[in-house]
Amino acid sequence: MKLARVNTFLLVAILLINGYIVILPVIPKVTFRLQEHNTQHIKQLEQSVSSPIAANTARPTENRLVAPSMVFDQQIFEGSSMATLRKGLWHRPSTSTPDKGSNTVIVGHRLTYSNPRGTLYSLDKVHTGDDIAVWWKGKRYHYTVTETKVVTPDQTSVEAPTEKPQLTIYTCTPLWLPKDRLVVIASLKDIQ
Amino acid sequence: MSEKTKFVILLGLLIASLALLWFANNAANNVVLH
Repeated sequence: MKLARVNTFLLVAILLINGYIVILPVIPKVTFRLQEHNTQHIKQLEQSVSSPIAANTARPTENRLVAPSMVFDQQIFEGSSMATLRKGLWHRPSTSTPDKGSNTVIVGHRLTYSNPRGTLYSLDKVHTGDDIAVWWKGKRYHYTVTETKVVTPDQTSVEAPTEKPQLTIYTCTPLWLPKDRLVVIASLKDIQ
Repeated sequence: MSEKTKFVILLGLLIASLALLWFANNAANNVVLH
């Protein structure tokens, strides 16, 4: 009788774990589908990226990445180790920062079963010509996407310094078997 | 099927499920170019 209860508990645990494995990757997709119809929110994001900033407008105190095409506005974290990725977006410490020109590189997980679950899940929704902004030390750096590409994990040239100010964002791809990296490259348009 | 046999099968399935979860999580964790 006691063993029967243990067996029931084991069965429930197995169903919950496998349900989590199957359902979790679908959640960010559903959330994106719901958010992309929220035109007011997207309009707000678009304005925060490209509209002139009034003198009395409050600016974010922390560094942030805003990308309306993936309905995205999240903090960028700095740190010397990969453990920083557990917080969310990570500015690669070996690369430049928006205020210094050259190549600023920001990375994030596509999907994990631990935290954060899917920072850059919708990076594939970003296309050439889209606007992206980085708030860095109180200034807004407005970029336009010039290229999206998929590279192998050994193509470290993606992080190399550049002559012109550039923003590089990358994450894992494809979603289910992440053997490559999806890279979005954007060039600086203006600073406010 | 006896409860003991069920227990052994379910325990095996639980371990396999946890291993799958660990594998799925680790597969996505090494994002940085190297």
